[in-house]
Amino acid sequence: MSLRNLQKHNVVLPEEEWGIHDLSTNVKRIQLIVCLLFGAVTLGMMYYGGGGLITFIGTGLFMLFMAWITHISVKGVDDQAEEFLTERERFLREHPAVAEEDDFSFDESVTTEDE
Amino acid sequence: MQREPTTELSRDLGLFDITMVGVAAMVGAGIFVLTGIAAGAAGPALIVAFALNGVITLLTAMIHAELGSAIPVAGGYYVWVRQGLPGSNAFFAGWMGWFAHAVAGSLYALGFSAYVVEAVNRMGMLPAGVSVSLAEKLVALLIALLFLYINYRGVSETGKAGNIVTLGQTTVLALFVVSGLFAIASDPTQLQSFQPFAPEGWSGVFAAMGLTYIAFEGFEIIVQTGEEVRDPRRNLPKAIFLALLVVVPVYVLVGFCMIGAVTPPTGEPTYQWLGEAGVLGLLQAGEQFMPLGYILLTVGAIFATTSALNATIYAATRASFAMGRDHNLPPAFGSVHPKTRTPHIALLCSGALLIGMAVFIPAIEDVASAANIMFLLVFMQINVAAITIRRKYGDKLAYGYLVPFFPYLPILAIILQIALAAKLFDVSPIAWYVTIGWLALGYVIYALYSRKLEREEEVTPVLIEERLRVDRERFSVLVPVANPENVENLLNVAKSILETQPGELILLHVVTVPGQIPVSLGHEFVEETRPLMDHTTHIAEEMGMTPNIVLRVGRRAANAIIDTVEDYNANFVVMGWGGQSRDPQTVVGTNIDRIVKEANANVVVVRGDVALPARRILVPVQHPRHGHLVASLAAPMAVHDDAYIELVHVVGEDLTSRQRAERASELLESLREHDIELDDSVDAGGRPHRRFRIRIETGDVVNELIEHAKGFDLVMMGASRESWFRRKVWGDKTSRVARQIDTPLMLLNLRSGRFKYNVSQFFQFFWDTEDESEL
Repeated sequence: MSLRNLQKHNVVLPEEEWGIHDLSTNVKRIQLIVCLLFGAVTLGMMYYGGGGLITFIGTGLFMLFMAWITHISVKGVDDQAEEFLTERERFLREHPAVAEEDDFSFDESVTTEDE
Repeated sequence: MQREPTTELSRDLGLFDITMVGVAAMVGAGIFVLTGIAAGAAGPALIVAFALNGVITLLTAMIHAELGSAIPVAGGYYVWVRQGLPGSNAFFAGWMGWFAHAVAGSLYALGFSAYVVEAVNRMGMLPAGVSVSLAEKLVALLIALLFLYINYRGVSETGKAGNIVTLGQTTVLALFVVSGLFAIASDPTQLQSFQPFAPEGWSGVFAAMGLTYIAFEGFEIIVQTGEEVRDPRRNLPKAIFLALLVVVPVYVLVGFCMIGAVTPPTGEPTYQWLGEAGVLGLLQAGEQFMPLGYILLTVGAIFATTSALNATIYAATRASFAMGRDHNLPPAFGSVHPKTRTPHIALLCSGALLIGMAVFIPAIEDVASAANIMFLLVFMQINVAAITIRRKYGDKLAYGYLVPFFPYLPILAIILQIALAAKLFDVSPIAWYVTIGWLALGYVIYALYSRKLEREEEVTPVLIEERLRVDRERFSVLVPVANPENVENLLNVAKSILETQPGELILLHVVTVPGQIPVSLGHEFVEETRPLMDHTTHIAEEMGMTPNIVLRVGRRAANAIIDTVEDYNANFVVMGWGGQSRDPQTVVGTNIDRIVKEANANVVVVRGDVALPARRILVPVQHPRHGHLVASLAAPMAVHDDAYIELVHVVGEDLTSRQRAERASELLESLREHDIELDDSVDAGGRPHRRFRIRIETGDVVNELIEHAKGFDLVMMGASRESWFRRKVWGDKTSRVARQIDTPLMLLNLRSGRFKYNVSQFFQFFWDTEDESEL
C-alpha cells in the first residue's frame, strides 16, 4: 500500500512529472451519455417488447450499441494517449533539464522487477 | 528519482493477439454449461439477461482498462487491491480469487461429466444400477483427478494446443449461431417460442444474470499479458473493449438461437424444456437445427470444459501458491516439488477444494452460484480499489484510459454487483452459506496467521531492545526521544502519568534513513544515537524510573512510533512540540498529526516547559468527551499532586445565572459518570481546601481561553475532532488556542476502543490522499 510498491513495478511517472497530467477522461461525454441512453432504450425494447418484433429490433440495436460504445471507448484510449504525450512534450519543453535525463516511455514503460 | 534495476520481457503481442486472449478466456465452458439452466430461470428473456450482464461487465471492463493501462502488471487484481484497499483486503482478494477459480473448476468438471455421461448413456453403456447423477459425480471426480495429476506432472496445455481448443469451441458456437439463424429464417413462426417472454419477470432475469456471470469473466486475463504487449497503455484497454464486443453479441445470439430455433418434442414451452435439460440445454437445442449438432456440441463442450478445467486448476494453484509466497498462507503453499517443479501443496489443496465442491454440493446451480458470488466480490473490490488508486496515486501514473463519469460509473458497477450477488441468495442459499463459511475461515487464517507475518514484513525494524520487561497487558508510557533539550520535560510528564498509575516507561529512539539508503543500513547510524540514548536513560534513572529502551530504524519517525505503540500496546505516548508547523495542512506538524491519527494510544503533546507538579491546571471543557479527558489524566494528576483544577466552559451567548447553573450541573454530572474524584478537601492545616471549580464563561472561545489561561501553570486540552473520519485531528478552535497560548500546554488525544479504532483506520485510508507507509 505505498508508492514504493508501485515504483517497484516501474509504473510510476518520474517525480518531476507528477501532477502535470490531467485526470479527466478523454472519452466524449456527451456522446457517451447519448450512447448509454440508446443502450438503455435497446434493453428496454428487448424486455418490454415481450418477445415480439420490438424485442427483436431491440436485440439488433443492442448489437449496434455494443459496437458504438466500443468505438467511443477505443477512441477515448487513442485521445488519452495523444493528450498524455502532448502534456508531456509541453512539460519537457518547459523543463529542458528534465528532458535531458528523461528515460520514461509511455509506450513501453512496463518492466518486471529484477530478481 | 532512483529507478530499481529492471529487465524487460520481449514485447511480442499486438492488439489482435491480446484481444484473442480475452475472447478465448471468456468464450467457452460457461456458455456450454450454463445456458440451459439460465433459460429455465429467465425464459426467453435469457437474451436480456445476457445483454445486461454484458453491460455490467462493460462497466467493470472500463475499470480494468483504466487500471490495466496504468498498472499493467502480471499480478493484476491482487496488486491493484493491495495498492488501493487497506488491511486485509489484499489477503481476501487472493483468498476469494483462489476459491472462485477452484469452484469454477468444479463447475467445469461437472459440466464435462454431464456431457460425457449423456454420451455414454445414449450409447447404452451406463452400467446397470448406476444412476445418472451418481455417474456424473464419479466422472467429475475422475476428470478432476486426471487434470490435477497432469498439473502435478507439470504438463499443461500450452501454445498451439490451447489455440486449437479455443478455435474449435469458438467455431462450434459460430456454427450454432449460423445454423440457428438459418433455421429461424427458414421458419419465422418459430419466433413464437419467445412468448411468454419473461415468465418469471425481472426476478428470473436477475437469477439468470447471477448464474451466468461467470461466462463473462475472463477479460481480466488480458491485463496479465501487460508485460509482453507492445504499447500496453494503448493496446490493453483497447483489447478489453474489443474482446467484449466479440463475446457479448455472440452470447446474445446463442441465447436467441437457442430459444428461437427450437421446437420442443414434448410440446411444452421451449424455455421450460431447455431448463429441464439443464447443463445439456445447449446440446439438446443444437441437435434440432445444427448439422452434426450432437457430435459437434458434445466434442466442443468436452474440449471447452477440459480446457477451462485445466486453466482454472492452474489459476487456483497459482493464486494459493502466490499467497504462500507472500506469507498470506503457510509457507508449504509456496513450496515447489523438487522433482516435478510444480507447487504440489497448493495444487493438492486447490484440488481438494475443487473436488469437495464438485462432489458434495448437491446441484450444479449451487456450484455456479458460489463461483459467481466470489467473482462478483473480487470485482467489487477492484472497483473500489480503482477509486482510491486514482485519488491517491492518480497524478503519478500514466493512464492509457480514464473511466468517464468517475467515480459514478465504478460506484454503479459496485451497486449492480452487490445486487447481483445478493440475488444469488434466492437462486442458491447454499452458495451464500459456503461463501460466508469460506470468508469466515479466511478471516480466522488472516487473524491468526497472515496478519502477524504481514506486520512483521511491514513494521519498522528494531535494532536494539534493552531491559524490556513490558507485558502487553501492563500499563506503559512511551516517550519518543529526538531532542536532548526537551528530554527532561517529556520525562517529567511521563513520570507524572506513571505516578497516577504504576507501569513501565519505554524510551524510543528512531534512526531515520533517507530514501537513497536501504533501511537495512540503519545499524550503521546506531553509534550516533548512543549519546542521546545514554543521556535520556541517565535522566530517567535520576527521576527514579527504570526505562525500557527501544531503537528502531525507518524512513519516517512517525511509522516507528506507531509500530512501537502497536508492539507494546503502549497506553500513553508523550511527545514534544515546538509550537510551529510549517505545513498549513497540519495542526501540530506532519509527524504528530499522523501519530495522533494512527496510533491507538492516548497521545500527550507537550509544548513549553511544563513545571510538574503543576499547582493550577486549566482544563477547557467544550465537549462532554472532555470529561473523559479529565478523568484519564488531569484528575489523577491533581489528586496526586494536590493541584487545583479549573474546568472552564465557554459559551457563545449570554446565559442567565440559572442557565449557567444548569450547564455547570450538566458538566458535573458528566464528570461523575466518569467516576472522577475531585472533591473539595482540607489542606495540611485542616483548612477547607478547594480542589476544583467549574466556570461557565461567555464570549469568543479562543480569546476567552487565551486570556483565562494566564493565571495557570498548565493548560490541558483535549481533541475535539470535527468529523468521524478524523480529517482534522484537533478542531480549529483547539488548534488556534494551542498556537497562541503562552502557558505550558498539554494536548491530549484519547485512545479509542479496538473496534472503533479499526473502523476509523479503515475510513481514514480512503480519506487520506498522502502516501502513508514507507518504512
